[in-house]
Amino acid sequence: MKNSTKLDSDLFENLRLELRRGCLIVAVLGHLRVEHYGYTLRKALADHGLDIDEGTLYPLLRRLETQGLLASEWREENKRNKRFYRLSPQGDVVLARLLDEWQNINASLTRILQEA
Amino acid sequence: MELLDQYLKTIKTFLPKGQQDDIIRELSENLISQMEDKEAELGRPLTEAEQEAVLQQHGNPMVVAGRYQQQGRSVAFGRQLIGPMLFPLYLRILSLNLGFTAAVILTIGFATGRGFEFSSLLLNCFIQFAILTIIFTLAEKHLLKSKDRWDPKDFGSGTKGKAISVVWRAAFSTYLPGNGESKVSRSESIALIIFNLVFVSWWITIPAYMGRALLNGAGAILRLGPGCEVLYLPILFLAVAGFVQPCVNLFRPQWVWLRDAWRTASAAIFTGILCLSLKAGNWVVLADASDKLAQHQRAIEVINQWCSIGITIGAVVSGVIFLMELRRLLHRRSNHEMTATRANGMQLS
Repeated sequence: MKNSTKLDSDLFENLRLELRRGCLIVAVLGHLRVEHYGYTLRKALADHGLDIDEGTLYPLLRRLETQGLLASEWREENKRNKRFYRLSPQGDVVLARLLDEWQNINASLTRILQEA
Repeated sequence: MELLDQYLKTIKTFLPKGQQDDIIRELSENLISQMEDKEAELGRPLTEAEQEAVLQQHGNPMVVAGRYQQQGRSVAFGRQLIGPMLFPLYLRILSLNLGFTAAVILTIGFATGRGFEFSSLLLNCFIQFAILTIIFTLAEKHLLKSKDRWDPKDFGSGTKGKAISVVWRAAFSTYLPGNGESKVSRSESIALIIFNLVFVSWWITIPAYMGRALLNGAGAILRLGPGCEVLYLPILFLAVAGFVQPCVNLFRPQWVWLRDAWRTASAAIFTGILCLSLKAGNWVVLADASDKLAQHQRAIEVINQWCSIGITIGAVVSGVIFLMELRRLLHRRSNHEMTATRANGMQLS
């Protein structure tokens, strides 16, 4: 009984992480329509109810930049150099397509769940 | 901010070379911003414990650095065995190991006049690969379970060696903060039984394999000497006796003391066996005692020299492990006594 509860919770955790992974990327791209540096982006996401740990967010930003979806520049703010990220033109196009896809999935899911 | 500097320095050692400075600069800014935010909230500078908490929350340096490994390479057979976090270290140790194995086999091959033996090289490399992969798979499994069991102060000077030892301890130690281990896990016992089974099966085949290997090439010239004979049976006995502890712990997982005691005892016995072998010396001798050919004498010297170096290193490592295990055993015992005294005290009050 205890083992099956643990298995269920492990399974749920894996599924939850899978579900979150794609959503977080959309959220990050969406937020970076306005320029942010790592720490303020994390705070902004948390303020909107999406907690993401630093160890996941900061490498994700660099990966999205490598993929051409974000652009970054080092700039001084409060007498300190910080790396600011924003959506690149290519990222803008990809975000629009992802949001379309998201709307479609959401609509389909709503229909499926209403029928069930 | 000394703690932060050490933390970043440790992360840096595990990052891809070309990106180290850039990533560290960015991480540093983000962490300083986070700490400043906290200070503004509290209206005072952060204490060392509060700084530690921020770093602890940010994550184990090796885990943090692992997430920046762009290729995210890993070892997987159906499911991931060694993730991107440990993969660079695994690859480095594996290549060192295989390189060393190849060098030893080539040296022995040419020194004994048998030349390059591809099958022997392949077999030994495969064994090294299998053993290292098993060790790293276990480390990965334990590390994922215990990745929060580390202390920023442990990293000290922020060198790679120090960081690896801290991470390794976090992966395998049962004595770090946050781990109130009261049982030997079933998976650990089963893994140990399987490991022993594989080892004993392999060890039993050694005489036949060694005999064949020697007969194929230099069997007419060489045979195993007293240094090897002293090793064989005691190690077999140790490996067979090694089944008892995990089998008992499988049914009595709460007997943690048994595992600790066996680890200490087996390390001591193993050190003793290696010392006996060193004392006996001559791991390989001439099959024909009257053979005075200079080339053969030279081959014997080279092989025995390699064996002596290897076994000396083994004995030192094993001795250090024994001392560490003994310290842990005593530490656990004193903790146990302290807990019992405290419990008695509470009952009395």
